[in-house]
Amino acid sequence: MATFTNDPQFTAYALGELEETQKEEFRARLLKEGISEEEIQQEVDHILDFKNRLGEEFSKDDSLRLAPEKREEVLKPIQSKSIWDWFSIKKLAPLFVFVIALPVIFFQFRERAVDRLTKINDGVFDGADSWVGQLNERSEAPKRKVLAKAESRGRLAKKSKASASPEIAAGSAQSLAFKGGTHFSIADSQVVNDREAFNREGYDHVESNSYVSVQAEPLSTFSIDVDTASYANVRRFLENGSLPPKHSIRVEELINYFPYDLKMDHSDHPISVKVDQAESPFHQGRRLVRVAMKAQMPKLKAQKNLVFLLDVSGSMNATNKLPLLKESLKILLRELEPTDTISLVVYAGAAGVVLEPTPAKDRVKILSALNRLNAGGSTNGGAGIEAAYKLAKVAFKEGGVNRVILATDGDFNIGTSHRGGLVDMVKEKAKENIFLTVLGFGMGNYQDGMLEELSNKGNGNYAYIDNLSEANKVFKHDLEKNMTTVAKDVKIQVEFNPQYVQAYRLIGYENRTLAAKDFNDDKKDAGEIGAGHTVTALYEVVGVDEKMPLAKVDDLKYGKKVVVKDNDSNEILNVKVRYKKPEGTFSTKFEVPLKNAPQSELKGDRELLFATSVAAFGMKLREDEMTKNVSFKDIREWAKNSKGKDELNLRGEFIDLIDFATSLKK
Amino acid sequence: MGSRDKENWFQTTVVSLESPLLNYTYKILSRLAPSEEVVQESFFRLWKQEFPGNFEHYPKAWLYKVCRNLALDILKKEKRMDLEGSLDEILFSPCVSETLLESSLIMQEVVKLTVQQQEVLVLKFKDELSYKEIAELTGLSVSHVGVLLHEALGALREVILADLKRLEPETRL
Repeated sequence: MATFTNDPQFTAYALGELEETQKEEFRARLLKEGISEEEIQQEVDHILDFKNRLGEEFSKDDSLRLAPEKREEVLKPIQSKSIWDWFSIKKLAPLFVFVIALPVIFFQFRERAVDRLTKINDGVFDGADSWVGQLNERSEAPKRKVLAKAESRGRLAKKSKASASPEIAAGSAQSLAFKGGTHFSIADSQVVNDREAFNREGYDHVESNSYVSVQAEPLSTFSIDVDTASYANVRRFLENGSLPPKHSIRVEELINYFPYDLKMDHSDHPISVKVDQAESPFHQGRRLVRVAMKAQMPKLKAQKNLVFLLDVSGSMNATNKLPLLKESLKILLRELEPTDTISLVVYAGAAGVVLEPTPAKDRVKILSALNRLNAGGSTNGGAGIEAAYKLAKVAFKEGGVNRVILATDGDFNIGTSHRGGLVDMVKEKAKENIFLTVLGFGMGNYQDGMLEELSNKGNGNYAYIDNLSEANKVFKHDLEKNMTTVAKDVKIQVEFNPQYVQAYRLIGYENRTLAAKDFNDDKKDAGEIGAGHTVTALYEVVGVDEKMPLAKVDDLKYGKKVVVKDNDSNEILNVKVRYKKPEGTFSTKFEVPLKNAPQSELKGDRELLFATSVAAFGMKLREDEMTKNVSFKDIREWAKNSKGKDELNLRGEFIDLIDFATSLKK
Repeated sequence: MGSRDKENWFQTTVVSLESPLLNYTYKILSRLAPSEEVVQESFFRLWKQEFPGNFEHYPKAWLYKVCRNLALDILKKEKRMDLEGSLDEILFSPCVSETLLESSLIMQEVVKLTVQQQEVLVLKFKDELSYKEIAELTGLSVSHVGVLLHEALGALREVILADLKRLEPETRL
């Protein structure tokens, strides 16, 4: 240790504790003593390293929080000051509900109007009634649950050893608790939220798949989808006490949010596929067919070059946005290998590089760059994306993971905001093996459709982070899944055998369907699958014996009838999979058939039963015809019976969501 | 600033400081229930306190000070002790939890420091208070805080350096 550092004043100097004039004097004194600038800087860096390291270490202990009821007591002064306390709440309640209901009826009206133009009259009034009912319900029921829930969320974050401060997890828990109704003014903020849901949040219109006649279309073709954002988004709505907008629910993303314990046969390909069946719980006599895909785990962790493109616009200035994002990055930093690199680019008005590619071992440098980030200004996503891809190219790791990670609430409001232009650029870069991951944060401003399209075109994935435990899932448990692509442009084509199958319906994947001819077209983009990821697709299959009013296609006058290749086959269907290696341009194909067998009981297969309950939940929320004979109670029962070990409490949380939805739907 | 602003400010303050304060107080009292009461009380007082000007710039150290004083009062009552004497006698509990102590080499060195050094270290590096704030909180002079911290860092220097090296193993390959 250099002798000049023996002076306590030096420590104070390094920690920025000296006044400006003292600082200059002290510095001048050191230089006069013949100590060089470099020596001083080196020692200052040491002390700052110590500071960061100690702070980090001490924070690991920050596990205590006030019990919810104690916190409520603390916040009571706010309630008693509240204007609503001056009146009798009971007397005013009906008026209140009416006032709240008006805008809701209006927005409900709008949504329905878009939804089904033909049913305007009936629809509106039904909808309005049920919404008023819901509002009455809402002020009471979910509050307790939301509170309890929020707490357990906080605990989970702790359990998974988020050594970052649990402030954020409980911070969002806290905001939930407020929303849940600790003071009465929640009602109007709730309406604002609902309004935002309809107004500001952009969801693309998703129409459910319908039954398809095998005679007319024997081939069902779609791209896989490993995104999970829709689930987290649905969860956010339910926990805040409102039903998610129908079009925000993508059933396949709900199903694929959960890890499944699947026993796969050995495969020579980087992905293995399993096809099996059970009786359908939705219609008696029909079958449920599962196409399950699992990607192998590579033996060695791939080297990573990650460029974070961070939205620091004014709209990110909320506990569940920028601060949560920072904590998420700290989690990630702990998971990276020392030689992996991280770069930071921010955008808000003007885009700028905050951190050039820096190896993860340089924690202090990365952390201090992170700590300097502040939200302010408006968003120009376009310029930022360009800068980020440039950096990704600079630090390119051959054969490794090269990714731009866009973290935003999605409000691209200045500059090259045209979806098309951005999408083209992202697509272009994917060809150079720089992939895009999109992380959605926050609420209200959230542009879901846009973000999903960007990540799809960028050979990437898309996750929605709303609290620390979700950040843990994405950056810790699922890191390799989300970052290391094992196969790209993965397409599935299922051929149904008309000898056994009259019609089929694919559950979910509505915006992932492809034309049959696209399956063999290597130029057609499709989904990626990451290390260890599982992807599940469910079909409901209608046998030939059932009487079903399907639109019949007339026999062809000139051409021959469709000839079945393998007439005596005992296969119900044949699954074909096409994929490319991460750097590849040409695809490989393999096939897995499903033999005809007596239908097995659904409850005999735990993982399938759980996937079915998730699918049913999503469809029920979308008011899908298929689930009209199934109640939330049934769905809950299935989920409960298939919970299994559930180490991360993901399935347990799902059961809670069913309860929220049940109380809201009443 | 209107009353709505004050409410927002108060909520944010409770949310962001509730946990650090509770953890801080718990280290003094080592029991949860009285620690929670202390933190609650500090917030009650904060609400009543009239801070001039912007709420956002209220003294964070003020809350720490209230918690600390209340906690020490409790200890005083329980032990019927005169606190004019050395802090070491009252603040006997280590500043870190057992689990952290087991897993962290750094912390094993930290607990060897004097209780005063430990407290200053935590307030500076975990709670990010300034020398001045720590001085006001602990009743020490600013320069004394500086000396305590400086000595503490000196004592920890070797172990932290070793730890930082461990964190970057393959750098010199």
